[in-house]
Amino acid sequence: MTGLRIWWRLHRAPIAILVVASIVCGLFGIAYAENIRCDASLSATDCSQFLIYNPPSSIFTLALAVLPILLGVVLGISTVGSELESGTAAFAWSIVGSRRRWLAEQAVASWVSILVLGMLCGGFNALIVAKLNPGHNLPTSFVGYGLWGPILVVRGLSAYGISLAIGAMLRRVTASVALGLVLVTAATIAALVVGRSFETSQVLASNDPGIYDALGVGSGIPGPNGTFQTWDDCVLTEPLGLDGDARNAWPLEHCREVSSYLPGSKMVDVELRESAVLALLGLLGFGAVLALVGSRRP
Amino acid sequence: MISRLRSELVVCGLLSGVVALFGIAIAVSLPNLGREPLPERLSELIPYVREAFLVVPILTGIIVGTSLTAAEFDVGTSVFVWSIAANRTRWFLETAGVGLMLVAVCWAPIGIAEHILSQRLGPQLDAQLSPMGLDSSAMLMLSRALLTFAVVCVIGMVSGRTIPTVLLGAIASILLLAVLETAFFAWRDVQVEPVDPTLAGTLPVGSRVATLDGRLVGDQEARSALSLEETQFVDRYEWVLVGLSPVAHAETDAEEFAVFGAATLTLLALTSRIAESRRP
Repeated sequence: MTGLRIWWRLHRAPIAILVVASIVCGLFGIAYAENIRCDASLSATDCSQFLIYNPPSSIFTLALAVLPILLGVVLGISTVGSELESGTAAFAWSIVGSRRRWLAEQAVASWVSILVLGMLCGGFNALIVAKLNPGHNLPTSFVGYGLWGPILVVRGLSAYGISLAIGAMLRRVTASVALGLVLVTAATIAALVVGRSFETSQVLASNDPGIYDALGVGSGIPGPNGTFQTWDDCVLTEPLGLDGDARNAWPLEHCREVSSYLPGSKMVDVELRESAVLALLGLLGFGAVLALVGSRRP
Repeated sequence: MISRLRSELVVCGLLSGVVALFGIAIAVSLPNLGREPLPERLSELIPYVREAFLVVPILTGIIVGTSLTAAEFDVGTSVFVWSIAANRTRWFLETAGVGLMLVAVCWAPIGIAEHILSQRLGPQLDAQLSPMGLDSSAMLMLSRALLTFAVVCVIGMVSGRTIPTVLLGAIASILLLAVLETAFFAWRDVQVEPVDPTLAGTLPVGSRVATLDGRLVGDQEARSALSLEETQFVDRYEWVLVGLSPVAHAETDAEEFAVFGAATLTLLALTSRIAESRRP
């Protein structure tokens, strides 16, 4: 209980700042989503695009998606890095029975706070995304992918593990924050790419209703072996002997650009794969610090 | 002071160098485009590179500002530093001078890369690839970073805690920059005129409806023009590219730089006053 009290006294400022920021962003975001209306002259498709991509709602949802990651970074760095920089690690480690147990206690308290903030931000964003995208079933749709739901908790926890390792190795809080933000951003992007890399994409027609729930992954002119080819390569495959109108019509008919998508039904699989990559990176960071804390001089 | 900040400088310098090298590599690999549109892959990649150009100097401002103010109090070295300094104002002036210089040094590779990229792409760069429509000229990137440094110095001097300063500094800087940039957007909107996008130094900002004799129409008239049938529209109106001419662009850049500079100096003066009255 004493350990928890000390942990709270050390970390309450960043937690309070980020919780207040998330509540402000969430309330403003919901109020904005509640009141925004399309101009009567817009078609249904244009209205849906306007609702999704208008700048104020994009800023609120993006800020809410970033806040749990930010909490993971600052808690990760200050858990060990801050203690080493200010020289309090020697005292803290001398009065605990086991350093690893001390680290585990710190980590559990941090995980719980990241979990709470992640769920708060994920919940706010789920409401905003649902209000801006009426008619979509969010769990089977890529609408607002990565902005809402449990993935925000996983990103925050992964950021905590990675930043914990950076803080323990650099022993300078401000330098660790800069490096932590860069590496966590790189890890998040890498996980996003891996998450969608193992799914087979489908070519969908532009009038297919499933397109609005799908995730666009590429576009081009279909080639003979299932890959995309350039316009010039496609024109080279024109059969010999065509002339006049037939020659003009051939590329228009056979070199038409199409887009490939992951259907909305694959959303949960993609998110699980992304979460697995993030969890692995976070655990690697945490494992490295566990070994480091046990063996290093304070 | 510089040796104390070597970890921060290594991280920020490396980051700036890597991003700048990436930008230069893209600029060098570009074919001679003339009036041709950019290859699709590059037009997708360049906005991300320019976002990094925009973010890295601001991050440097936050990190250097926090290290020079809040971290001194957090680690407890401020007592010693202030006891050996002739007076606190002089200490802060020296500290702020070094901080501004370090931010400028870390910005330099990105400034050079932005210059090379804009030389290769010309007005195409700002017409299509500017993050959030911000004017990404190299000097404005520097002035944003210096303003961020000043904001963080104020917060660091008041709070005296490293992590809260990083968070509050980032939030306050983003809000202040958003307010200033919104005002600049409005100011720029008043000055726009039809521009030739091939002229070096032009800043295209969008398209507007104009009458066929070249007069830009107001919002009300544009709305009624857009509600016309297409054939009626093309008989009376056209879409024209609008923005700032090279002369107007240079003038607004200088004005924005002056406003950012004045705000930076005001905030640094405020920090100096706080340092005078604060307990170490």
